[in-house]
Amino acid sequence: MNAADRAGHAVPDGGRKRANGPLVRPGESLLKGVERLAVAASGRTRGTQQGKRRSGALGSSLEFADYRAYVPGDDIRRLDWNVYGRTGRAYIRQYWDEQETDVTFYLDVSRSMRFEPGASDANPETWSETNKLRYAARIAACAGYAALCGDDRAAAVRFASGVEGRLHPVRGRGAAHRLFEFLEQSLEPAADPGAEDLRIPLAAPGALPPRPGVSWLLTDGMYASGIEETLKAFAAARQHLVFVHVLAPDEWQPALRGELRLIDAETEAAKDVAIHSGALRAYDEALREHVGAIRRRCAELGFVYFAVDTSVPLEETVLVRMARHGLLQRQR
Amino acid sequence: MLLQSAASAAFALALPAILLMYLLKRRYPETEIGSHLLWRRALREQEANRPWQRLRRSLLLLLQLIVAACLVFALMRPYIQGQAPSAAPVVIVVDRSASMTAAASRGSGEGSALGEALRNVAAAVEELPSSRPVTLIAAGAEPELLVQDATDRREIRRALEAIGPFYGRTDEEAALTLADALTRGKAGAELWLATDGRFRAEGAIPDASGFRLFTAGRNGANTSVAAFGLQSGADSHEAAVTLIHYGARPAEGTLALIPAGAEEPAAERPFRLESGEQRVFMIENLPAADHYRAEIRTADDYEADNAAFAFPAAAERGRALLVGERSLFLSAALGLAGFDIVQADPAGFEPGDETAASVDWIVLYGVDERALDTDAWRKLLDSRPVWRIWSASMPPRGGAVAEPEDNRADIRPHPVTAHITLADTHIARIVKADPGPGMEPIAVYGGVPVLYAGSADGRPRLVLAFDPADSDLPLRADFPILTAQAAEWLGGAALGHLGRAEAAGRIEIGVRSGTARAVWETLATIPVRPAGETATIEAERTSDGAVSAVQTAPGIPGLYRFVEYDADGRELGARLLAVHAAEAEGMWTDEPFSGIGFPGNGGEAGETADAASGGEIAAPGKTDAGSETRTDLAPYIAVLILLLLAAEWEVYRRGTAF
Repeated sequence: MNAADRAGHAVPDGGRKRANGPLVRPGESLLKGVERLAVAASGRTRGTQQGKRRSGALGSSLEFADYRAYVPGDDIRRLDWNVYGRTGRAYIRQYWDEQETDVTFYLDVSRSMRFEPGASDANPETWSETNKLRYAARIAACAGYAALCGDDRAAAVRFASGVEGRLHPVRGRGAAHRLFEFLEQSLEPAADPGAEDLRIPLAAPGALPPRPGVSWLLTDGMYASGIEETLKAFAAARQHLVFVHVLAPDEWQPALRGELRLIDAETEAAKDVAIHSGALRAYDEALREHVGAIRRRCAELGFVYFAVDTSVPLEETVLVRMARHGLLQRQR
Repeated sequence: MLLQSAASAAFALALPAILLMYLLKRRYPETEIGSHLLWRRALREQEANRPWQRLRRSLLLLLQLIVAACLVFALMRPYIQGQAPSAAPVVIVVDRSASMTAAASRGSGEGSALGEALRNVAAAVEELPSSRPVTLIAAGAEPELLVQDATDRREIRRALEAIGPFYGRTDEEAALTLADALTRGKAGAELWLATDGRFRAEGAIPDASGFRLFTAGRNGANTSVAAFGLQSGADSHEAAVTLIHYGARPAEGTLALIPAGAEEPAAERPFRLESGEQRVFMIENLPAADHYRAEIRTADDYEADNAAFAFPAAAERGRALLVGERSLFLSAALGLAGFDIVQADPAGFEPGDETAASVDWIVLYGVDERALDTDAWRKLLDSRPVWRIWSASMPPRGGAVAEPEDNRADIRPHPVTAHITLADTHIARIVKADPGPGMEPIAVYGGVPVLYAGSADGRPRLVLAFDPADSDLPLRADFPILTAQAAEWLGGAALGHLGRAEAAGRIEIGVRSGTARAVWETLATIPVRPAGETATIEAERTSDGAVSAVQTAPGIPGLYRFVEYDADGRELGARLLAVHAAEAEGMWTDEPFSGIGFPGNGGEAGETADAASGGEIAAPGKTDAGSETRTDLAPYIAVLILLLLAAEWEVYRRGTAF
């Protein structure tokens, strides 16, 4: 546990209680920083309740939209008397409506996300700061807290080879602990190792949100197939997707050397590999290609791709990088 | 760069074995990773042909293969041929033993292996830089230094041409030891050995910086007349001939027995001998002849033992004519010495020509010589050695009887007195008289000469100046010795033939008394020499000019006659000697080169022997080493291997791949 992490994870040592979400719940200082942020959403949202989002519909916000001719039954408080005085015609001032938006966090809890060299899958207590699932859960916690603070609704889904659990949309800062609790539960050991195809969990009926909104997909992208189709499915579900690609440092840059038998954490398949500079170059190339394909697809669909290295302190990722990337914005 | 053991390339099979072991290696450290996905994509190429891909860039394997290749290369014993120092000496040892007279290798065009070897050596000498001194050693009974440190090529060539075979016992090891002494400590010195490989010298070949072998001769067959004896019967001879066959295949031929002076054989026997078989042929009823030649007519490669000579054993004993009174002691002593006594009474005996022919020498015992003053006696006494024994009872003319002053004896060196001391001998009366011209006292007793020796007309004369009956000498051990030595000196010891001897071997010959000169006359040689070469050989002499009793047998196998002449050139007698080549030379039981320890390891000798057993030894090019110095590369390879091992360790330390 390094110093930067301790700063962002200012939980008393004695308070390592599962209920408090010591592994996921961001530190107070980080929450303070996140409070002032809101989850960015592209375009105009259409919610069901009043929110802070500028909706596609006209409503009751302070933001002027247009004039239209008065018809009987209109609220005369919206009549523009100045125009009436000058022209003798009655016009109604129209304002944009402000609605909340649904932010759904899709957390990949497959075994490859849980995997961390030298740590036990089954015991999250042994995980370090760079564990992908923990890191992803904490990103979700931060972003979810930001959403709740911004009067948006936050929902969460954890999936492996199917949807493992679901947090129905919650609203308001007070519901943050439910989100944290859900995320904390996501860390608990699961029997399901995960699927090779991302469509298996996410293209299942009811997996995607029924209403338009913002979706964050937090995954390591270790799917042989189905990523592209899943992205399309999100688009079809009128979701604005943020693809958070979480990879551990030794996935970005493997420290392996020599002739090794590599065991896949998910499939437990073995593979004899002589790792030398050429093989490492080939890995780098494969990684670049994989990332490039996802990024390209996201760009085509107007989605946001955001790569995360878990060795970077969470505060920097959330407060600096995500903000710079426009994923989290200052509240208006 | 050349290889001494190209066959060791077979060890290269170790390389695929190492590869195989790497392919079969299954024990990889297990490492868990999150997902194979990216590795699968990265190593898609490796997946395609998996076993080979794994070997790619495995530095450890590469290093091991290089090390193994280096080891194989070292086993092949590479060397670099460099130029020897221009002044480095070359010592040539030529084996000229009798076996070198065997047939040359097929296709060499030479008659004998020696000729082939000499031609190859001469050709190699021509190729030497003229600055290199050449020493030429011919192996013989003792190594013979023919040329030392000569740079004149003509001189060397002449010396090479002059080398002939030596039929005696050859000591190749001594020649090699001498060559070793000459090459030792000299940079770049080379030893050349020209041989057919038929000698035993285990570990004898010195480890000169350059060793070059000139092989000659073939691994052929030899049938040998191992022994030939002749027994004389009443009027015919009986012969026993032993034949031995050395060779891989059976030999067939004819054994012929040719009497002296005849062209046609007196008897012939066909024979068929299996490999290694030894058989004795008994042939009876051969007509009487001075000597016989046993000859085999068969196809073999070594000629020197294809014939042997034999002569009947001399059966007769020497005969001495004893004139005077009968003496039991004297008769017994002469009988012990191997002489028959013919007793003659001077009063009633007149010798004739038969008497002269039948006796070898004469003893006059207590005879008044005035009674013998006839022509017949004078003639007999002049033609034969005479031993006079004076008697005090009948002293010679002008003689006086003296009594010795004391019993001290003074013995002078002479063949007759060789083992005589006369100690404790008591002599009562001694006759003092003039022994005649040319007689010297050789023993003095009590101040009075008791024994005179000398010669008259070239015949030995001996005078004993006292009657043995007047002394206790006959009771002493000196007496039979004195009698035997006197008889030998007077009669010439070996009346029979000289028997058999090895060529150039040392033989003892009892030289007849009165011999002033002796020669070896060549009667026949094996192989037959051109007529001009069958000359007589002067016998050896001692330092004082007398014919030596120890002679060197003639060097060429054959039949010789030892003829002795007196001072006047009259022939005293002739004895036959059959000379044969050293027996070991014809025993072709082992393959050539199998008994020679070559420098380095023994495998080389084995290889050569293998080549020889094929039947042919290739002629000039078949040398075991170059004429220049060799630089063995093995130490450099060893250093390289050590460096590679260090590199391998480094790779291992850092991880097996890079």
